[in-house]
Amino acid sequence: MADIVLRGIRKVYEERPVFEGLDLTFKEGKITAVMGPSGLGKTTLLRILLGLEQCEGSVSGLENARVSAVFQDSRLLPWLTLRQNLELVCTAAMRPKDGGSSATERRIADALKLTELTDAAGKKPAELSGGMQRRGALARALAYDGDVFILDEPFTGLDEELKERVAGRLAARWRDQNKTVILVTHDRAEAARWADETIDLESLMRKGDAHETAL
Amino acid sequence: MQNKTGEKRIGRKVLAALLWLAIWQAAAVGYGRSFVLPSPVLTCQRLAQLCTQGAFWMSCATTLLRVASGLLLACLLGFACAWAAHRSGLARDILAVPAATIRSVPVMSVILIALLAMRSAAVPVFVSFLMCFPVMYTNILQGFDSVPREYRELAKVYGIEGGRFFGRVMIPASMGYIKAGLSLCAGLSWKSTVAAEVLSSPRVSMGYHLLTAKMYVDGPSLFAWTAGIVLLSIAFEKCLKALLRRW
Repeated sequence: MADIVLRGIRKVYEERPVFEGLDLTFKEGKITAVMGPSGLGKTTLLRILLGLEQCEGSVSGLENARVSAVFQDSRLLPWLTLRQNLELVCTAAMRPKDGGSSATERRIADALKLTELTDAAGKKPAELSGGMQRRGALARALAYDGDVFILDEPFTGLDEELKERVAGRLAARWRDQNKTVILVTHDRAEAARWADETIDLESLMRKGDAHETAL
Repeated sequence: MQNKTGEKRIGRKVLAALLWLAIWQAAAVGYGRSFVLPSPVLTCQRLAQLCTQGAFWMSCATTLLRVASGLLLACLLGFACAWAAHRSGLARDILAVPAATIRSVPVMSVILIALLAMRSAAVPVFVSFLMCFPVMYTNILQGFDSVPREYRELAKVYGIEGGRFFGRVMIPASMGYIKAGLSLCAGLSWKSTVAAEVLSSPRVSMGYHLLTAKMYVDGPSLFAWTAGIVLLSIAFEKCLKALLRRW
């Protein structure tokens, strides 16, 4: 893996420029929080990184990376149970290092345990609360075991106590496994608590430099 | 409270059925020629007689098999063509012509043309397939087109491709349209199959017995076979719906 580098990103939406020559670097093995007010283009930035939006400029560092994503909406497939949702992504793109079905089972069980959803594994998304669906999307990203995690407000809808437990566990796991994590959040405290670096997108777009190291 | 409403509704349905049976009985008595318009009692008696004969069940089973075969073929080809049309604009344009044409060709024309080209036993299956295909194709294509962008993006990001994407994402997400198409085709396939059997007259078929009853001016048999077709068609549709409910 390498740093993820964006150079000269230019994106226009319905004749309104979202990014005008944006340069940005996400460091390998770090948790980076991207902050900024609504409508600034945080989600668009993540969609560019995921290859879901066309833009001018270059994105490097993701060419051979396996990417786990949590979208702004949970996107659990409603006709599958939570466990089946996880199984689907785990078995879709198997790598030699993923091991056989027992290894996949272990990853799924681990992801469900980390997000405190073990008891809900057999339930369909419609039977889960909003917060559980959010954690379900996180569990899916964990079970997929990407090299890079791209997360759009992953802890929205979780109560403070649960967020503290789950986010703390995940941050520790990501640091332990040297994962590159890009996390969009509105919550400055959330960014300060779990991220290694914070990027203030608004300042960056205004001044051209807004990296700050979190505590 | 709900039970009472349900009972009331069933009661109303039974009353409505009895009313129509009474009208049929009165018309039959008034007309006075049972070989043209038999009474419901006479029709039921004849149907009961037919039920004791092995040939009746054999004909029912053969017609049922033809209906199911035609529908299955329409589904399989409908899926394949809808997938091609969904993926390629060129395929969509090419397939739009036969789909629209077949839809507006009268079923009798299709039967007569098929009779020129194939043996009589194959005609009902072909006609049933041809009548159901545009309905299935259009519905499945609509279903594929309406799969939310969010699910496609999810599949792209997580590398869900090929058969897995088709079977685990596209088909379940389109199931509402597929079920509606099958529901429409369940009735259509029976009508077209029996019509084709009447004209192509394969020996073992419900349509052949309809034609024979008409030739011998045997009203009770004609009505009894028709009642058999209607009952089987309803049972077929109910089974299909029960099967689809599991998905």
